[in-house]
Amino acid sequence: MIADERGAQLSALLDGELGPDEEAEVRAWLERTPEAQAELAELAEVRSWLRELPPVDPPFGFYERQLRRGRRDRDRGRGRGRGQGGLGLVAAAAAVVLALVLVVGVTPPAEAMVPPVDRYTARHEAMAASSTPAPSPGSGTTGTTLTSVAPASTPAGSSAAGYERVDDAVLVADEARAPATLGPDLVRKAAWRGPEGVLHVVYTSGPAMVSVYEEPGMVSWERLPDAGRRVQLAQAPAWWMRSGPTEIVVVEKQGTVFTVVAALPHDEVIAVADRLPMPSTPTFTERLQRAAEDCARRFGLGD
Amino acid sequence: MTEGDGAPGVPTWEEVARDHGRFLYTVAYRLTGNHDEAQDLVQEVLLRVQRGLATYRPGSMEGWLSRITTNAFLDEVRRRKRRPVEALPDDPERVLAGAPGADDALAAADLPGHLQAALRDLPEDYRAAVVLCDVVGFSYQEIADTLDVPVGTVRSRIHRGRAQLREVLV
Repeated sequence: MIADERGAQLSALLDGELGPDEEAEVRAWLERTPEAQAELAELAEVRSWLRELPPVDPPFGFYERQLRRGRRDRDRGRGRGRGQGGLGLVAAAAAVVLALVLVVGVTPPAEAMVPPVDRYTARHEAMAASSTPAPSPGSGTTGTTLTSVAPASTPAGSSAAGYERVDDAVLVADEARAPATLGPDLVRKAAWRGPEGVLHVVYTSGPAMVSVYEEPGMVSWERLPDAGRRVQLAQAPAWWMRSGPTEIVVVEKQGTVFTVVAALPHDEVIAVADRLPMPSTPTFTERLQRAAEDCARRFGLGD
Repeated sequence: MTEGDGAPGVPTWEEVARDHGRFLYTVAYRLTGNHDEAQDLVQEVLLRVQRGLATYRPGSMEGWLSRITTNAFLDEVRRRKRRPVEALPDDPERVLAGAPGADDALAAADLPGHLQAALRDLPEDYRAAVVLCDVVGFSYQEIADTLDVPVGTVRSRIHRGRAQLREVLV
């Protein structure tokens, strides 16, 4: 084992932090000390690993939470003072929110909410009941045709009022919110934008159909239906309920609430919930740009 | 909102975000080792940036942000040591096995999980020195100025940090 002071010289040598005299002395010592050469190589390897660490993006949903809060603050501001001072406060609040969103989007936690699991389940079951088996393009196997039950902008039953079909091109561009696949078998079939900004994405695997509803917020667990129960997934708090053959799982991950609905075995639905969201998030810069553009539009700060 | 407006060379918040936001989060994550604490740390840094942007002098913005982030991190470490936090008990009724969470999957995808874990296990003083050196790219003198310690101490901390990582990883 190399003594601590000698070891520190090796690290400093790697970093180019030794003066000329000290560097010459250390290099001479290295020449005659195989143990030091080995340690230098290992330290260089560790240093290289550290320096090759990639950038880290904030968690999924980080910006969406801030935009939601920004809208709420803006609305509150409009409902208050109308005089010059009031307008000044509104502008100041908007500026602060915008600044927070722009810099990294950090504000206090998102507001508590309860996903309408009954409505989500009814919508899912209506779509599942109306869907028809059909050949999957190019596969020769059977799949589920959703366009027959919910074409663009057409509600699939009364519970679906207010949902608009999201164009496939938009989904491809926003892959992080509606990944093309969910695990090895489930393939995205269609998505709809619903009330309060909820995104409903349907995945299928043969005749099996899974609905994933995604919205920003933090779950108020105690206000979910009594028929369900709290559970803990691998990394996230969740809630589970069975309604006839349909399993419903609500899971909260980093300020985003997912409601998974499917008539599948319990373990499979839990596995789907555990896999959400898929790790193909957009880059920090891309999300930052979107957040800035959205916020600017909402506050009327630009085109 | 643009506190830097009007002063040549002083960025606005928007410019800070656009050009350095990802860097800021990366430093925070490498220091804290998890997303929850990284977000808390970034939030604290933003407050300090808001207060300090008007007095920012043109230079290395990332260096400035790194100093603020590291000092905020070490302040929090010291605060916790003075007032230890007791973890709340789990209240869910049962635990279901499952795949690793998305955040962990992300972390594991961007570097070997054991490297991040080993970095997180370093003493905070060593970790700060190593992150400033190998993630931020500071010189020993810049690290010494940031941490307000002698250069010799920086040299020792960096080496001990790397040596500890080597023990675990090599």
